[in-house]
Amino acid sequence: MIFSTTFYDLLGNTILTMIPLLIVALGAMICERSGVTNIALEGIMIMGAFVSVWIISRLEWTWVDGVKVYWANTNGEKSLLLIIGFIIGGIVGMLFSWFHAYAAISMKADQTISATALNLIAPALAFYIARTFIGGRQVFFNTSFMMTRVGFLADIPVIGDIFFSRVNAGLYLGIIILIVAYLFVYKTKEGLRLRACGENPHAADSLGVNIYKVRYRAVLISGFLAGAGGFLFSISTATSFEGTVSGYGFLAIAVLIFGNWKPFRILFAAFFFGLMTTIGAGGNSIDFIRTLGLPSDFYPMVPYIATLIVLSFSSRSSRAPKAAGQIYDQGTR
Amino acid sequence: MKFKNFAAKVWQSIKNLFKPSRYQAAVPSLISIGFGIVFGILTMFVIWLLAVLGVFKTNNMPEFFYGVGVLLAGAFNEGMDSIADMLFAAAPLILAGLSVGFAFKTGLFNIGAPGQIVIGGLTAITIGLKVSLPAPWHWMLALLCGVLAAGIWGLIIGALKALLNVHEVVASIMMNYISIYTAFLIIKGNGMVNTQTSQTLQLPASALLPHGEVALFAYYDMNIGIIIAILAVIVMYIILHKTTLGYQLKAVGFNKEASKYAGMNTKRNIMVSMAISGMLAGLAGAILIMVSGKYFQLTKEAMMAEIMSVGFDGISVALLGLSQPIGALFAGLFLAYIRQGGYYLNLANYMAEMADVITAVIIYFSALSTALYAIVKNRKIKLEALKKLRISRRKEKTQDGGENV
Repeated sequence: MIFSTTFYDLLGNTILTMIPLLIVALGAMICERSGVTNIALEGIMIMGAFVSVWIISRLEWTWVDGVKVYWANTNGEKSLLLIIGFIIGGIVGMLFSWFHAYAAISMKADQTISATALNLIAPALAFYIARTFIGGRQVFFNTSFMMTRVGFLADIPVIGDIFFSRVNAGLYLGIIILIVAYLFVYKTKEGLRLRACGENPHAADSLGVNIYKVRYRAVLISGFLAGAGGFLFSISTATSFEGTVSGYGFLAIAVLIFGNWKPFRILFAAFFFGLMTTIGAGGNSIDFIRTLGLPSDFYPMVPYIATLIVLSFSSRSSRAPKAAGQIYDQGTR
Repeated sequence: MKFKNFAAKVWQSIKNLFKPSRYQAAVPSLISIGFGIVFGILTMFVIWLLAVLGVFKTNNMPEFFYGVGVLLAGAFNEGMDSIADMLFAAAPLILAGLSVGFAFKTGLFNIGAPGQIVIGGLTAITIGLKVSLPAPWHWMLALLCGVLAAGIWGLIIGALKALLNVHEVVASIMMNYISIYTAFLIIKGNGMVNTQTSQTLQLPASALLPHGEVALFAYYDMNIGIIIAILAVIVMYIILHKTTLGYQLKAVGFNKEASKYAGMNTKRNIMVSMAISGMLAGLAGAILIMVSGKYFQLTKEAMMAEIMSVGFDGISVALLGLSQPIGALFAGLFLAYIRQGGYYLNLANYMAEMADVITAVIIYFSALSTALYAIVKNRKIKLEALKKLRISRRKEKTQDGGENV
């Protein structure tokens, strides 16, 4: 190893925090670029995380001669579980986000209200279902997705240490999603239409783009990514799910705004926030910070204060999609 | 003569109060409440059915009919006792709803109410423990300081929005988290914590909201919180509907550019609105905490579940009350009522979270029904206009015909 272990720990934890944020924020980007604000992300994440964690907690055990046995031991088997959970979380998130799409697009309802309703429904429903069918508020699971070593790739200096040893498998998913989202928004016909809907829906409509369809699709994509991101968040931070994603849905919106609605700036914003959170959580374990001698309750504030400071400098020049949050009504043209 | 005029005016306003057209705005809310409760009952039915069919195993069979009865009976389950409980629980909800609703009126989404509640409670605790004063002055000072501190907390969000263009939702969320740890820092730093239970110390009796001796106020826990909440509703109603400030704030919320053009200081208005919103949330926080046996639990999770949740409930109350002060009063009472029902649902082996599910569904339907209502109304107006047009055309035709002959 070229750098110290603390460095790799810091980086590893940063990646752990940043990946769910990145994925959810990318989904939010696609949604807002189409002109629909989506502050229901928190609720969608909770719903996706709840159902997928519940199913994973059932799938990870198998019965051998009447004894419960945990079967996913190798990287491959764990990755399989991860992908199943990811997809289930995504599908649940997508179904759940349909309610937001229906209210906001078809019914022309206030987007804040319908999103808030989803944010309220998700934890209440998760608790209710968990207490009724599982018998407690928590859902426990065992699979952690820390990969130990990925074959020969782990032997490459620095890069191997960062990307291929002791790394959460979600990192790869995150990178893939980032690239796909970038290509989708900027390099495809669909992406162009999407951006047009967010900037000037009436003009796009006059050119024959079906605004409702494009927006529905965008909300559902963001629902998929939020649900899947909720799953990734839960499995990478704890061994039980408790009806909360610690406000990551809202933080993802902060990351989106900080990232100025652009994919690679969102990556940077997510990284920044992940780093700050890691420093906040690590607190006294980092020599440099320990010497400052601050009370321990100060550190958890660091990411939030840092984000506020950064936002207050960068918000003046931030440019949201022009039609974001506005109800599209053909009749007003 | 003057008195006669005055009396006539009062009589007119009382008469206006009972005009049905005044309450048309509440129709979507009532419809969605109906939908929400029906949804809740259906869910309970499905769970009962699943349990009866043996789809999931449970030792405590849910009792459907008893459950529905208990849920609907809400705060009337145990007579005066549960009514007092409802009023006690409603006070902070109403205030939180006023706070969020007031910001809505200016076009701001104050999702920072939870943090402002924490700051209001924190300040009340600090004054309660660190200052010693005789009874009426002590709690009044604690209340006042809580209100002011939370007002400043809200003002920060407003200033970030107005001066630096920081999105108020993001700023609010960040400030919510910051408020939790600020509370921990101040409480631990000043020795206001019971190290064994990791709760804040019990406030002295002089810093608690007074109990009453008459009627409902003699019941356990009950205090003057609900009276303060009702007073706040009246004050907010007057500010919003009878003052220039209220008019300006509403104008900014309605059309920022137009109000700017009309010479209003939109930046100042945004800051004032957030400050007032914060003050109301702070009042909610102080009322919430200035009760015997109520503490700050010093973990993030407990703070979120016990203190900040009131702020998030405030969003529901504001939405259900259509951002109106009077609406917040009724919505807060309703939420407390259905919560009481949820509490008693445990007796029927259903989970108390049912009340939260119902509330959330109500909010969703209210989003839909407000939109639907607007569409129906628009159509009505259009139809009437068409009718008039047709009538006038017909008149023209007959006139033309008369001349020709």
